[in-house]
Amino acid sequence: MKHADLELRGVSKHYNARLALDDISLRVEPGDHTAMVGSSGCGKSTLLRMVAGLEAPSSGQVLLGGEVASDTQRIILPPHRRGIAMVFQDLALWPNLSVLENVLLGLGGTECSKAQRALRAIDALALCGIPDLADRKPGTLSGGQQQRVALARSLAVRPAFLFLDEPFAGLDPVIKAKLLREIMALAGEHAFTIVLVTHDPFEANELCTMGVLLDGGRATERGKLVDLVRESSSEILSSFRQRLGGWAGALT
Amino acid sequence: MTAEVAARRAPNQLALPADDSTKGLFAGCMARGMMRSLRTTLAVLLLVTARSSAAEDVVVYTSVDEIFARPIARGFEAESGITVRLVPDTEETKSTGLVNRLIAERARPQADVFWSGDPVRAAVLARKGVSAPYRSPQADGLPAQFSDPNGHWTGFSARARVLIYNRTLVPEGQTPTSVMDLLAPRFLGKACLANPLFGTTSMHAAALFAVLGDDKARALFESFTTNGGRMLSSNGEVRRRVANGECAVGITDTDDANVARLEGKPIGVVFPDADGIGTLVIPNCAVLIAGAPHPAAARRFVDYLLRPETERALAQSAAAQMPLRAGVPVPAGVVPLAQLRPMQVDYGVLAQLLETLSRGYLKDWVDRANSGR
Amino acid sequence: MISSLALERPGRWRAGGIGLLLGLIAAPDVLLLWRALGDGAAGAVGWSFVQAIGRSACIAGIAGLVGLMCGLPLGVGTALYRFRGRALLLALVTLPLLVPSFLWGIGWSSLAAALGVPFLLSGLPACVLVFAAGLVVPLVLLTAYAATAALTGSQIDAARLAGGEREVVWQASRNASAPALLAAALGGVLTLVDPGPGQIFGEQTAASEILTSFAALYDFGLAGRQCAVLAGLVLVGAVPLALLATARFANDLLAKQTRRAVPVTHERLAVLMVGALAMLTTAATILPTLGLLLPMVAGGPELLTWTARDPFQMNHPELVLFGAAAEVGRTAANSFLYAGGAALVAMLLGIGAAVCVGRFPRLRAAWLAATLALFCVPPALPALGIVALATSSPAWADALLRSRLTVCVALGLRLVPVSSVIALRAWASTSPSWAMAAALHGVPLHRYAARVLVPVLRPAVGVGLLLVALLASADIATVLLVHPPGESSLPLAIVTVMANAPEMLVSALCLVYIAGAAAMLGGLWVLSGAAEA
Repeated sequence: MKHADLELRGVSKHYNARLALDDISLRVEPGDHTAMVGSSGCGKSTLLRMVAGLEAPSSGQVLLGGEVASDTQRIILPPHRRGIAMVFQDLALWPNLSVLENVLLGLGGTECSKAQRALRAIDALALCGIPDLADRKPGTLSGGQQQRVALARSLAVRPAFLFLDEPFAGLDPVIKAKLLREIMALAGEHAFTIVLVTHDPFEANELCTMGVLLDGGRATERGKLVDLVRESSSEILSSFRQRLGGWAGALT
Repeated sequence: MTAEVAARRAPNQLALPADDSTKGLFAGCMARGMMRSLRTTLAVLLLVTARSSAAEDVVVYTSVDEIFARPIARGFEAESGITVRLVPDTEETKSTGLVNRLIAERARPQADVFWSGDPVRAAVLARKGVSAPYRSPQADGLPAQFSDPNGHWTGFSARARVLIYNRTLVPEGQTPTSVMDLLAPRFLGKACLANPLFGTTSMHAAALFAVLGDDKARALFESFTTNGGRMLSSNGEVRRRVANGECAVGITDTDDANVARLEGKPIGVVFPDADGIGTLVIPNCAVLIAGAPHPAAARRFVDYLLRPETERALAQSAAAQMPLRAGVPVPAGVVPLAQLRPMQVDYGVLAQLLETLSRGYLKDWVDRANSGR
Repeated sequence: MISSLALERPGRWRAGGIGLLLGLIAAPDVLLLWRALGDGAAGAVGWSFVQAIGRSACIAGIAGLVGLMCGLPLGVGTALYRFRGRALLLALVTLPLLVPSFLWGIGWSSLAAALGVPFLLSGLPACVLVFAAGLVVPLVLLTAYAATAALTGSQIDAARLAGGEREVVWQASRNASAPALLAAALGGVLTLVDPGPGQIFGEQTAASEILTSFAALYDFGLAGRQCAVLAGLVLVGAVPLALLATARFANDLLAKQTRRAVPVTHERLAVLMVGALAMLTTAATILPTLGLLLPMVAGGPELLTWTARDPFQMNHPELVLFGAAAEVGRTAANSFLYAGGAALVAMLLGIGAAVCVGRFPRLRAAWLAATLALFCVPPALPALGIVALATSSPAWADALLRSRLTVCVALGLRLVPVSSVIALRAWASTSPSWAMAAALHGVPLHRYAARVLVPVLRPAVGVGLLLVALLASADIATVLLVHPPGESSLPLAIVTVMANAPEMLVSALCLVYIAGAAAMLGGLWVLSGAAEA
């Protein structure tokens, strides 16, 4: 299911006395690959889970294509009907299932025939360059291979939005760079929008054109990523600026 | 697998998993699996809940040692065609015991008969309303003094409390002849008895209190402790310790003593106080359970227990139990009742006295004996 | 469609589920306790009982401490390192759990007497020896083994890189410490309710006091009040213990870390492990078994025959071992049924508890404290409660309340504390992100449970089933009171036979039982090793 855009209106989230998200309002248009940046514990992953429908907001609304998907303490549209796929921080591969079984089980919520699911699964593995790992268990794969499996599982459902929650941590730079290029190419080919949670300026720069800065549960800055990096006075974006400084020309 | 799918698979890929899923396939597998599990579960449930139902059976709870009770039960089965479902008891120091089960089942019993190894448990059951009176026609010839006057339990085939001694440690002229000899200096630290809160030892303790009086009986127990006497967990343990020489003398039952004799252990047996207070005789008791589920079979089993043939069989068995009936032949090694001087006690009164002692002096004595270690 | 996240979300159903499960487990106890507390002399339990509690607490504490100090490193070492005879030694160490403790007590007592040093084995030290070697150490060892075996290869490698084998052992021990502490507590509680060694070695314990109330005084009221006091005291002690253990109960497994740890070979540590396990096996199994078998070897060949005189036939000499084998044949099926059925009931309820508790520390602490308190109630009380319930029920309920199923349920309910510790640990070791991924992909709960959860939890459930079956098979008190007439089990048959059976027959029965149990355990370990390979 494709949606025109993704919007948050006044979304807040409390965990007992702790305020994780505070009155977040933002919009992500189709094609505007967006980086969510902020210090650890500022609520980035919580925000992704809220939008994906895995948790309900304490207040506010999540809209997809103008329709309310989540409301105050209510999940109206179930997660698998939102057109959102997610690569989790820990990848969340089911350890007892083979690579192919992971992708097939991930297609369980789609309305496809058996043959169509099989085709999609094989296509997804091929897209991610791992068709020969179909019968391997995740525990026997390298980190990079596991990343690709998680990606294949996400792409198999043909999402409108692909959420990436710091999935590249621990990968060596060469593999990471390769993966990033491939994801960009796939995004263009299959028309999905990326929302990336990251601490890494190079990942953000490679994949995203838009940016949102989260600080203490609030969305303090948003806009074009290049503008944010150049002009922001926040600590994290300043560090982005410094690290990308030698690559300033790469900021577009 | 469709041709298109086959074409898209890489050449080195293995076949797709058999349950490469659709909703229906998964659901189907789950459904088939669930049906299989359900069938298996039902079969297992039927197995565990099923009870073998013979044409007729009788349920007998017994505190008589299983090794002696089972042959009698088999004999009844052979003769009557009624299956005996025997439920033996553990030693009282090992677990809570069947008497509690009988009391708990009182309102709707499973047992038909309780074959007790002593009258105290039978008296407890009578007092708690678990037993029903039954005067068996087979009870003729059994002395009335060993039965309940109200008919709730009938005594037959008895054991006796005896002194046993290790023949290699105790020379012939120094063998004990009275329970008082347990206090003798020659047996300092070498005498033993079982815990007087449980079993036949408890009954014997109550009998001593009844016959000797409170003061003398207390003095006996206190002197036993002072003389270094040891309290063990069971009559079987008394037998073992005397047999292996750890103790020189002990007090136990005739069936324990006989087992040691048959095993060839170097022990001697004395029926104590033949010239004094006498030897405590402990009859088996047949108890009909009130509200028994198989009343006719229960009465037949009680009748069987009370027959002279059963007394003869128990006399001839390793239990070496004395027939209470006169004229029942006994093998060598079994002392007939006529040759004993039985202690004069009222078993019903003993049961009540025991309850008081178990909450009072005996409990205190046992606690001191344990903590004095 | 029920979302896969249903098992991860908070909700009132969790507390409700826990309440329901606790109610089910406590129901047989409550039935009799209610009557007992309403009966006359409320609160009176006797001064000697109070003193006995102190002694029992000492025994439980020391046995628990010894169990933790020995069982934790042995369990961790056995899981981390490969060495010759590993499966066999592990099976032998587990064997004592199968056998009622008083048998080991008799064995030790007999051996000490044969060696002429009975004074060495009496009172509190003897009780601690039997309980520690025969119960608490194997329990802690198995739990620590299971906890360590659940570590991933990444975790072990990371520790190895950081500080060598010392760091590996240290980190693995830290990981296993919380479940091992709980296992030691469970073992300690079990010692509180077992009167066997206290009776044999002349130590006045709370369990023997309660047994006296039941078996000598036939006073349910007094026994019930004593049980209530004991349970209350254990609850008070269990709460801080549960809170302490809960904080370090399990680290949520990162879903990336799915490579299983493989035991490695280390020569020096292998020698150490073999030596330590052999010592434990000697103390827990070999020496007391020798004591039990002495009567068989002490006499000459003629003592191997036992002349049983049947009242209606001529004398028939019977070989003792033949007689023992016949007893085994009569009771073996029920023995397996009761042990297996109890294990199934206990694990199902334990898994239910784990699902209800989830990843919420407060619920976990509450559950652990409550079940520890319930665990300390002697088995006779819930068993008699079930008997009372069956008696007051109509006859059509007998298939449920007076059948072999009842024995399985009674044993299973009693052992839920053990199964729930294992199930809680296993659940806490799964990753919540698996459920999130399943929810995101529209995998319904039943399919997620069947395809992911059940296979992942299966190894831990297997260990739990085995452990509960072992403990259930040694419980004679429950079986005695609840079994349908004529459907005894082998351990119960041994105990009912031994009162006046010739020592050779008792020894033969014990030998056959222990050998059969060892063969079964050995087979299971070999099978599990083959499955891993």
